[in-house]
Amino acid sequence: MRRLILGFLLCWVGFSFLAEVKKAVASYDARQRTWETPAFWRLGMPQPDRLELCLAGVRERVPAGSFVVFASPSGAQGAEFYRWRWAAYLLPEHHVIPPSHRQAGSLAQYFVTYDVRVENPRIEPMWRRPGCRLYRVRQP
Amino acid sequence: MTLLAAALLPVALALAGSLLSRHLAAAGDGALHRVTLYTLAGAVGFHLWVTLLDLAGLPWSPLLLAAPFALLLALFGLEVLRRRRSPAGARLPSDLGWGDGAALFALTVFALLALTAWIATPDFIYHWGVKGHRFELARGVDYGYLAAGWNWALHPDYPNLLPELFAATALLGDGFDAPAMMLWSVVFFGLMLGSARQALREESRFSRQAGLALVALAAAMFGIGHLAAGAADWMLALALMAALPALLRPPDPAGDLQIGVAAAFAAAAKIEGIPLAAFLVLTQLARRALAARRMDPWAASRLVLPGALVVLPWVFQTLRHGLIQPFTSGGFEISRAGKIFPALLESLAVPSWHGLTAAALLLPPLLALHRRTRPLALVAALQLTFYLYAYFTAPVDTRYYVISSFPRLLLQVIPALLVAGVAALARPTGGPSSHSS
Repeated sequence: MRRLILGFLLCWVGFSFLAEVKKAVASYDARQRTWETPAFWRLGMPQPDRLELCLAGVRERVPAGSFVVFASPSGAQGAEFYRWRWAAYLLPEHHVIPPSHRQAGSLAQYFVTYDVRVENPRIEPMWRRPGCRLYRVRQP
Repeated sequence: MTLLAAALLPVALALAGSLLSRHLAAAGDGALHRVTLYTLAGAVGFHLWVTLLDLAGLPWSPLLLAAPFALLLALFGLEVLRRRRSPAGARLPSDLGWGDGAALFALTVFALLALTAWIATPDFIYHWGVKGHRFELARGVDYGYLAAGWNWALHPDYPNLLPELFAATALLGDGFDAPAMMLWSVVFFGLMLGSARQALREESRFSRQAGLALVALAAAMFGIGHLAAGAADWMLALALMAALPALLRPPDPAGDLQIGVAAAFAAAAKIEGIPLAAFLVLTQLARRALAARRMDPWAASRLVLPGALVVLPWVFQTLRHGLIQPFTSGGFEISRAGKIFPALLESLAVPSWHGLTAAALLLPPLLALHRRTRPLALVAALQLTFYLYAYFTAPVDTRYYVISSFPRLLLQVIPALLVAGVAALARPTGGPSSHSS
């Protein structure tokens, strides 16, 4: 009986393991054709790769340790929040602040907009690429 | 180069930890379990060293990070020369079987997928990875960064062993590299299997092999399906598994230190590792007290000291920098039950566990009917009760909190529960094995 129970469990888990591996390999192979909202982005998907390209340009132009406000469009499933978390991951040398934070206005030295247009008299353009703009923030 | 550092650093941790072999290893412990214990001891030692550097205001450099290892490795060499034999008679596994093969296969598949970073946990992006990279750049735990008001999403109040290991790997290699960091999860998983093997050592050959294959396939299945590479939950699963062999046998001095070190490792890994550490220590203290009818101060110090050395600096730094987050805990609100229990049921049915969450049903029989597995079941039950307490007290979106965390938190207890379940099935009365081989 003991062997039967363990044998059944092993078969169950073995097949489940193989199913997960198959799913993971298939999704990995299709990663460049995958479109997900930011809450479900993964390393290797085209969406975070595109954001990384944008932020690589920011990294080249902004000195390390700067306070950078990162703005992107709001959307379903906390899209703006998760894009901001990805931006913080991709720019660990900077303080990446969401625009909604109460200290954003007072601390901001640079402003990055991603797929969103922002008008503000305090910001002056520094660099741009499609969907991505870097501004310097004039101190009051 | 960073991948090489990620491969070599655990070896250095194990060699450094092996200096405690005389006190840490019990007579019957096999080589794989010893490697696990030594690595945990080395990791705790590493954490204490970098904590000391931070307190002294010294920036981490490859030289400063490597210095204690060089010293300990020299001591290790002297110890080996002095004994002219492998430390304390460690035995390499001589009874390899199909379960070992299945476990190695599951670990290898998990490793290959983890190294692509495709199965990296989202939390690697949101906090573990960014902390590790930031600490590498800051050459220390950057408390100013953690304390910034907008960085609440980083869980700044969490203990930092995992990002410290990431940062050290990056500093000893050639910079932060996400796939290389995933190797740490593979290491924790592999070490967990070493202890699982030890816990099943006295069972019949079939039960031992089946149990090992079961826990390896189950952990790999969930780790791949739920995207758990790079998560700190592996560390808590490892801590509980490393303590399991000592919990399954009558209390002894080596077992006390094993549980003390496992508790310290858990406490250094994650905030819920602190209650896990407390439950491990208290359970073993209670076993000690019940067995001897008095409290042995040496046993108590072996159990409590490693964890205290980890937790006290954490409390100091967390309070000093104001890192405790208001959403971590609040008042107990029974009205949340209406959201918590349906969300728990939803979490238990999460596809990536493939029904193995039913292992939680093993708790009552393991606790009530089986004397040998009772200590482990008690620790697991207390830990699950703590999660429940957190859900009742955290002032956040309760349903989202439960469904986004509970399936992952189960990774911390299910592997050890499966091993205990196999041990109980092999010996339903909890007495000595009739199939020992």
